[in-house]
Amino acid sequence: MRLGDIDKRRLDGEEGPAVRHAMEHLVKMGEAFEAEEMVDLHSCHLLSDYRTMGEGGLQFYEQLVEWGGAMLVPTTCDPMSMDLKNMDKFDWPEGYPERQTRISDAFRELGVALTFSCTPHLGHNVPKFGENLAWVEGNATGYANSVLGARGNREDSITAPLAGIAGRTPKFGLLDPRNRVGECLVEIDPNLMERLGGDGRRCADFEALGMIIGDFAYDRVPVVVGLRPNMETEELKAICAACSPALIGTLMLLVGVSPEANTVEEAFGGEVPRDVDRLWVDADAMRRAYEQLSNTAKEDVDVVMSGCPFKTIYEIQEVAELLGDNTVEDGVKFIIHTDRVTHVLAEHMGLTDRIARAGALLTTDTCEYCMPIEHMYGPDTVIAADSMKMRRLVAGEGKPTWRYGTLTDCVNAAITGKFRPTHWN
Amino acid sequence: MSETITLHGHSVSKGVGEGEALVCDKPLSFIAVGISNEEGIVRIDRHPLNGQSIVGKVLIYDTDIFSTGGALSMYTKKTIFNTAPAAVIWRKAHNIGAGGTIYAGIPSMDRIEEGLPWDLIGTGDWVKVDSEQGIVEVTKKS
Repeated sequence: MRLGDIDKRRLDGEEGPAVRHAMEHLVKMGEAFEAEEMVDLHSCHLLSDYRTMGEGGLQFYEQLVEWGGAMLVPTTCDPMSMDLKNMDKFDWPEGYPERQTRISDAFRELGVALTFSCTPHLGHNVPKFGENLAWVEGNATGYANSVLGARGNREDSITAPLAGIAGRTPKFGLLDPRNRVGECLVEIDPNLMERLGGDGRRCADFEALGMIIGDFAYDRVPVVVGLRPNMETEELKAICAACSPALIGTLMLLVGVSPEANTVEEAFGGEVPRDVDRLWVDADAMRRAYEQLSNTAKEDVDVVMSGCPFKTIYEIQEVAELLGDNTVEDGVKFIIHTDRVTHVLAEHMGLTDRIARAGALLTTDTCEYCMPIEHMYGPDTVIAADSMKMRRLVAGEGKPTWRYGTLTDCVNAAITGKFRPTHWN
Repeated sequence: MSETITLHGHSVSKGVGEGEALVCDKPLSFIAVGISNEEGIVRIDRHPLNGQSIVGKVLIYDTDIFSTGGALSMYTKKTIFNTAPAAVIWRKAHNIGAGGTIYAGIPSMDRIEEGLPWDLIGTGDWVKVDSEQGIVEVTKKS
C-alpha cells in the first residue's frame, strides 16, 4: 500500500500517540484487504452501546481519550443501551447506567456529536456523493451508498473511530469505484410493486423486500429494477435495513434511485451480462418472507415494537394516528423507538403525549437490539414487530419469539393483545 | 498416526494460533446478543453452531454478518473474558472480522487456495494457523 507524506507523518507519531495508534491499525487493515492507497475520510459514525461492546469497548474508547484522540471529521454515534429519559420504564442490570455514561463522557472528549441515532443519514451526518465514510451502522451506510452515492464499507466498530482519529482510511471495497458495479439482478414484479407500502405498511413491506434482495445477493452487489419512481424516504430507509441482517455489503444499485444507476446498463458498468444471476420477486415471495419472519404461531403478544431503524417524525405521526383514541391492552408493552432529536420534535408536536395517553411509550436513544434484552424479556416473551432487522438480530436460544406484521397489525396487537395478521397472510 | 495436511491462504491478522476446529459454512456474528461475551456460546436463530462454545477454537465460517459491533465484542471476548477463538478462517474476510481479529491479536486468514475451508477441515480436527507464513496445518480427527 502506498502511503502519502501525511500518512507517514501520522504513522511516525508527529500528531500524537492516538493518531499513530490509529494509523498502525489502518495500515494493517489496508494490507489485509490489499488496498493500494489511503484516502481522506469525510465522515464517521461510531458504536455506542455498552451491551454490545462490553468492558473491552469501554476501555478502548477511554484509552483513545487518554492518548489525546480527537475526531478529525464530522462524527455521530449509534444508539446506546439505555433510555436515560425513561429509566423507570425498564429493568436495567446493575452497573449499566454508570458504564453507558462513561462511554458518553469519552465521546464528548473525542468530539463526537451525541446523536445516539441509527439514522445519521436522515439527521446530522448527511454525506454527499463520492465522500468516503467510516460508519458502523449497516442500514445507514446502505442508504448513504445506495441512495446518496457516498462510499462506505460496513465498517467495523474498531476501525471506524480509528479512521476518524487518523482522518484517513485505506481505499478498498466500496470506497473503490471499481467495486461499485452490479453482480446480480433483482426484478420486482410490477403487480407486487403496486401493492407494496402505503400507510401502516411501508416499513414491514419494504424491510421484507430488502431481506429478499439481501438474502439473494448475499455478498454481491444487487441491481434492483422495478421500484416505483419517487420512492419515499421511509421506504428507502426500510429497504436499506437489509444491509446487515441479510446483505453482507452496503450497496444496492436501485435503478432510478441510486445516482450510479440511472439505467440498468449503467448499474452493470456498461451492459447487463448475458448470464447474470437473476431473481424475480412476486407476491408469493413476499408472502413467504412474512411467513419466515414469524418464528412463533402464538397469538397472544407481550410486547409490540416498532422503530428499527429509528422512526422519522412522519412515522411517529402515523403511529399516533393509528392508535387514535384506543388504549394499549393491560399487560402489553407497546414501544416505539426514535432518536433524541426526533423525540424533542415529537414532544413539541404533542405526539409523545398522545402516544403516552394511549399507554404506549416513545423511547429515545435505544432499541431492543442495544438493550440487554435477555435481562429484560425471557424466552417466553412474544414480540410483535414490523422490523425485519430487529427480528433477525434478536432471536435464538434464550431470547423472545416473534410475530412479523405491518404497523397496522402491530398497533392492533397492542390494542387487543392479539396478533391477527391481515396482510400477506 | 493421524493424517496431516497443509493448506495455503491469505493472511488477514498476523500471528500463530492453534486449537480444535469448530466449522460451519454459514455467516456468523460475534455480537454479544449472538455469542455472549461472558461465555462464548453461540445463540443465533437457526444457526448450525447453536449451543457450541467458540472459546479457544479455530473457528471456521463463511464471513461476518449482523452488526459491526462484532469487532468490539470480539475484542471484549479476548481481553476481558478470555472467551475468544484461538484463530479464525473465513472463505472471505469482512471488515468486521478482520478489524476485530487484527486489533485483538487473533490470527486470521481467508481465501484458502486448496478449496473451501469447510470442505478441507472438519469440526474436531486439530488446526494450527500460521498467518505469518500463510499456512494452515490440519491434523484430521482420528
